[in-house]
Amino acid sequence: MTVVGRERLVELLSDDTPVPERLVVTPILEPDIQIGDGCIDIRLGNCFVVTKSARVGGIEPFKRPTPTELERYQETLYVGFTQALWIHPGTFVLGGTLEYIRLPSNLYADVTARSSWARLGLSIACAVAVHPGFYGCLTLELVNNGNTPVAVHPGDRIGQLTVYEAEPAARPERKPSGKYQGQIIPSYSSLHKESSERERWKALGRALRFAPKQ
Amino acid sequence: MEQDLQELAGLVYQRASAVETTFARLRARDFPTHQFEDLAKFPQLVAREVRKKIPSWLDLASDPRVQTASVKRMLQRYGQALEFVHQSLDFVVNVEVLSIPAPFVLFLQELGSEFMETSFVLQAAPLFNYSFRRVAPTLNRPLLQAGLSPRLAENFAVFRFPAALREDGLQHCVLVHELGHYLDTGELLYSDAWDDAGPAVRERIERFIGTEMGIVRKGVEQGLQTALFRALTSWVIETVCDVFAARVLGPAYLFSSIEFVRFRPDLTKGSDTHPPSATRLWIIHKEVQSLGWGPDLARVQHEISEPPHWSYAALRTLGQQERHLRILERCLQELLPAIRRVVRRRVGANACKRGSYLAQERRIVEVLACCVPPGELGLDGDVISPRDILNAAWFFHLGGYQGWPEVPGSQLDQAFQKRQLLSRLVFKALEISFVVRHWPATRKTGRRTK
Repeated sequence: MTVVGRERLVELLSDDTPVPERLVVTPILEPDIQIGDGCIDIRLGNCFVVTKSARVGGIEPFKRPTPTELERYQETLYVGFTQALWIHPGTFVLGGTLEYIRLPSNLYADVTARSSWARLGLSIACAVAVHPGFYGCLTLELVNNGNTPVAVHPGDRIGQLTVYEAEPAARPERKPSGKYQGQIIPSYSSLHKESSERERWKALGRALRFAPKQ
Repeated sequence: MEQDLQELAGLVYQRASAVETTFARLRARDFPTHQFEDLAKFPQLVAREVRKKIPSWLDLASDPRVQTASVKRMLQRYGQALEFVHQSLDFVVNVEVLSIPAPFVLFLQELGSEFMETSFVLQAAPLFNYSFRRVAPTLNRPLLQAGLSPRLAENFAVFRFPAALREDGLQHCVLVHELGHYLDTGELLYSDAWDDAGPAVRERIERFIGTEMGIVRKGVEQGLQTALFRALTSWVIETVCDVFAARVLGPAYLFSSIEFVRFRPDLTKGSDTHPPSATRLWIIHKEVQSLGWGPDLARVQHEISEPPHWSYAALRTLGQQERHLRILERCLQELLPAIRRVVRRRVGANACKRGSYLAQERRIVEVLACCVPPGELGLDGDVISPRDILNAAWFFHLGGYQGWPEVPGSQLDQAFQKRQLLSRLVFKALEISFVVRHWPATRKTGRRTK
C-alpha cells in the first residue's frame, strides 16, 4: 500500500471523478489547510456519547443491550459550535466527525490524532482502520491520557485521515446493513452482532468437556 | 401583619424558588439553537423577579395606610403568573431529542427567515401529528397583569412533531406547513385572500352560506352562519399554509402530505378546522404542478382526485353534516384562486421551481446512489440547497432506492433500513449544506458561528 499524496487526494476528492470511484470527505471547509501531503484533517462533529457507569455493573460486549440498558449506560450530548466539551483525565468519550466519509473499493485509510492534540494528552482513536467501501461519519474514541482536563469544540481539526491506495476489494460495495455503515452520530459498539461466533466457542468447550478421555 | 398574608407570601416565594430551580436544571442541557435557551431562561427570570419583589410588598403591608387586601391580590397575581410560566415547562421538555434533527431546525429557521423574523422551537410530542402554537401571548399576558417585566418575544412559537418519528427526515417536510401558519399568524394572509377574492366571489359565498340558513330551523340560523364562516376561515388558513408549503418546498411537501394523511383518518372527511384530505392533496398537487413539476408527479397521480363541483340543487339532497362540508368545500373552491394569488405574491422568487433542480438532479442522484449525503458535490463542487436535498431524497425513496445494494431481511425490514439510512443522509446533507454556505461569512467576523 502506498500513501496517497496531496495532488492525487485533490483529484480523488474532486467532483470530476465519477462518484463510485471518488474519495468523499465532505465538507472540507479549508482545502488548503485541511489537505496535506498524504492526509486530510478531520473535524469534530456536534454529537458526543458519554458513559454513565454508576448504574451498570459492567459491559458484556456480545450481549445486545436493550434501549433501556443503553439509556442507563450512556448519554448522547449535543454540543453547539459555541460550546465546549471538557474531557477530564482518564475519561472516555465517543465523538463523531463533522465530515461524512466514503472510501471507494481501492482506498484504505487510517485515522490518527493530530500531534498538537496528542501533545495535550488526547488520543482520538483506538480503532484506526477505515476499510475500503466504508461510508458514514467516523466514531472517534476520545481519551484524555494527560493529567489536566482538555476542552474540545465541535469544528476543531482534531484528527487526520491518512489515505492509502489498496488492491480493489473483492466485495467492493458494503451493505447498508453493515455494522457502522451510514452512521452520522457516534454509535454504541455492535459486537453483539458477532455473538454467534462466541456461541460456537462455547459449544466447542462443552463438546471438549464431555469428550471421552483418550 | 396578618398571618394569612405571611403564609401567602411564603407560598408564592416557595413556588418561585421551585420554578427557578426546575428551569435552571433544564438549562444545563445543550440546545441546538439559542431559542431553546431563551424559552428555558424566561421562567427563571420571572421567578427571580417575583422572589425579589415579595419582601417589598410585605414591607408595604406593614404600613397601616396600605390595605392588606391589595397586597394579597398582588401576591395572588404573582402566584397565577408562576402557574402560567410553569406551563411552559411543557414546551421545554422533550427538546433534548433534537440532537438528531438539529439540521432540520436550522433548515426551517433559514427558510423562515427568508420571509420574516423568526423565533420558534421544535418540540417532540407523543402524537403522530404536527402542530403550531404561538405561546408568547398566553405566557406574557399574566405577567403584564402582575406587573412583572420579563417578556417572551411576541412572535415566539412552538412547532410540535411526532417524537417517535424524530429520525424521519422525509416526513418532517410537513413542518413547512407549520411555518406557513407562523407566517399567516403574523401577516394574516387569509384575510388578504378574502379581500383579494373580490366582491363577486364574496357575494357568492355569502349567498351560498346564507341560503343554507334558510333551510335550517329558525333560531340556530345566526349561530350556524357564524359556525360556517368560522370553519371557512379555518379552512382558508389551512389552504394558505398548504399552498405556501407547496410553493416553497415543491414535490417534497406533496409526498410527505400524502404519507401523513394516510395515518390520519380523522382528516379524511374534513372537520371544522381542516378541509378533507383529498381536497387538500388536490390543491397541493395543483400548486406543485404550476411550478413545472408535473412530469415528476405521475407516480402519485392515483392519490389525487379533483373534488366535485357541487351545485346548490345537488347539495339539497345531502344530510346536514355532509351538506355543510360540501358548502365549505364549494366556498373554498371559490376562494382558491385568490388564495393562490396572495401566496404567490408573498413567496415571490423563493418558489421551488423545477428548472433549478433539474440542473443538479443527475449529479445529486449519483451521489445518493453511493450512500453519500448530497450536501455538496465534491471538493469545490456546487453546494446543494436544502429543498433540492429534500426533493431528491423523496424522489430517491419513491424510485425504490436505485443503486443501493440489497440488505438481508424481509422486504419490510429492508424498506425500513433503507428509509432510516436515507433519513440520516438527509440530516447530514442539510447540515453540510448549511455549514458550507455559511462558512465563508465567518472569515469576516473571525468568530465561530452558532
